[in-house]
Amino acid sequence: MSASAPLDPALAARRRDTVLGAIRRNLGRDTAPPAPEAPLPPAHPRLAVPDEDLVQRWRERWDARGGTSALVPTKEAAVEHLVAWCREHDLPAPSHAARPLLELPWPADWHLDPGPAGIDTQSAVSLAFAGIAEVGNLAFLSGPASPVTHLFVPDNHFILLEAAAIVRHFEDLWQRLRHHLAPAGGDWRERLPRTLNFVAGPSRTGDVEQTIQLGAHGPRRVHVVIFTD
Amino acid sequence: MQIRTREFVPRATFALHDPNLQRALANAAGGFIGKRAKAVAEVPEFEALREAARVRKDEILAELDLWLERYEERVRAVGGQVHWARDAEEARAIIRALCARAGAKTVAKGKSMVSEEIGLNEALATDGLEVIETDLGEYIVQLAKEPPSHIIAPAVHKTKEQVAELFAEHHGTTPEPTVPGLVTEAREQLRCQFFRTDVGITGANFLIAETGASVIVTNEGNGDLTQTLARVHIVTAGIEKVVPTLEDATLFLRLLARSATGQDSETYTTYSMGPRRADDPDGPQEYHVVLVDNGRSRMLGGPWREMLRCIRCGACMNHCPVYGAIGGHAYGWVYPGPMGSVLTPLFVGLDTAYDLPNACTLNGRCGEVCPVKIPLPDLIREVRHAQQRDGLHPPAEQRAKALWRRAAERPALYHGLERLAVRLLATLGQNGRIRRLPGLSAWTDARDLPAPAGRTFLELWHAKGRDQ
Repeated sequence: MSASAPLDPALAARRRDTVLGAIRRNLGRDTAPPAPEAPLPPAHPRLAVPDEDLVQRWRERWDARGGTSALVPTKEAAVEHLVAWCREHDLPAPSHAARPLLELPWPADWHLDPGPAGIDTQSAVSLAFAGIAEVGNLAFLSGPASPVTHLFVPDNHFILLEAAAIVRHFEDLWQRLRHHLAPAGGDWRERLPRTLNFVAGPSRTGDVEQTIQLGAHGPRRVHVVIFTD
Repeated sequence: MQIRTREFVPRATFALHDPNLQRALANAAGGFIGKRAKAVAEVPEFEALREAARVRKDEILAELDLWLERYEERVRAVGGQVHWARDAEEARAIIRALCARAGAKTVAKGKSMVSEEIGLNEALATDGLEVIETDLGEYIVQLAKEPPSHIIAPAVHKTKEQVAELFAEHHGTTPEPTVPGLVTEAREQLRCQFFRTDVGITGANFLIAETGASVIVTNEGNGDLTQTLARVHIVTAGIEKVVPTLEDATLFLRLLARSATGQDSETYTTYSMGPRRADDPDGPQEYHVVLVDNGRSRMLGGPWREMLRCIRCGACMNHCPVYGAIGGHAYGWVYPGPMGSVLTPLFVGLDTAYDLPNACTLNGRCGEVCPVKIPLPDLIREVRHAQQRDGLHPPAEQRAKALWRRAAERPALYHGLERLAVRLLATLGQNGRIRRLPGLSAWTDARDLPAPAGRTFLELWHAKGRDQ
């Protein structure tokens, strides 16, 4: 048998039919059930998030998980804050940033590369697609302007988040995502990014003696700057 | 993975006398139970979520073929490929062929129980591939040449001193036996591996039919580095992992992290949909999903369907007093604890895994904490019934049960024997406790038995009736 024989299309089709056939037989029927035309998103129970101030709620949850955050009025103020933050905490200036952020007034000696992070990348700046107040998560969409490696490779990850992008529940995010991908209607699924990433603070592990340790494989420090305007 | 379920009794005995293991288990049980309880207490809706998850998962399983077909269609639409495997051997063959076609030399792996189930690492090693487990716990047990002992905390049985010894032996370094020191050591070692890997293999906590996404949750970020930096991303998943919509995935994710680690979400939740897009600066160039049946479709038809609701959180084993006493290795295969006591006999055979369901005390804690309300104690009892029907129970036990039945069918004889036994046992008691029982030393060596009052319940009841 050659190494690629298991990938033979005819064999693959037979395996598929056998598995689907076995499922149907064990469910007591011969064919697939009639598909619902457009399956509506089911309304599942949610956690009560009574907070009026979603930014406050989001920050409480985020900070409770080892992340840090700050609230500033504008994107420009976010830049100033980040420069001060790096100096104050003796952190190296970021070397990478998401493309839409390059136009911000960064210091002249910050050379920001929109390309993917490499093994030596110490620090990167990203723009979050949304925040989820329910659990203090951030959501990111991968794409030409937002490399996935920026989220996982650097030791220090800085994130800009627009206050208005904080939603209450995951269900609100799904609605926003569907609209974002197909603002003028059409099939939102045609424009899905390769990944949708949720982040809830620094990388962590409890694999040695159940003791939580930050900085397992991903960033050790994650700092979010929320801008309101 | 080698099946060692027949060695349950000697391995359990060994575990009970391993001081390092006992220390690690005592440490872990307290942590898991307390963290989950706290997370659940913060969510008044938890019970409603459990009930909704039970109902929804049953609906999905009843139309599993439909959702799998839809899922496959969407994976294709985003540029990925779906491969169906009827059993472990086919799954291994497909993944080996994908690695060969990619000209791979190194494989990085995120955590995947299905890959343990199909014995993937051994097969890839046979082909001369270098396989690195990247979840810290999985990495530790890989270095120790051991299987995982817990589905979400694979190295829960190791102390930090043991981990430091392993690292010293394999890395040629002298890491500090502290938690931060060991985590940093592993981070630096694995960092280079991520960047040189050809193929990245991850599991899937969920597959989403409407988007063709595979979802993984991790706290370390290893699953993400694995899939992002490799040229080829291969996902291994059981066929029961599919859910219809993003909203459904949210329902189960709300239960998963709280039940598993007591967090309101894990640090990273990643939805992967196909290979990198034309203009993407990073991500894998190929995306494959291997859907593994391996006995699952058969479970749909019988009394075991409810077991397919399992979302692999590990809460049942964290709350199991038997698991807490002997750890995961004694169970002898991939899935330990209560879920393993049901799944393992179904996967490897009712006789081969005979002892697993019979070690259960039927205390019921697993069923109470299961986030998808699998009636684990009922299913464990059902496995025992199936073993009884197949005549697998030991002859001595069968004779004892036949004898008991004969007595129980004759009330006068039964009560007579009971009166005799109660009086006999009462004479053995000192200060209300029985410290030693002939023939039952395995029990009384570790604990005392309360001595009976000298009269049976019925005698006391009738006496009470006369008094009133």
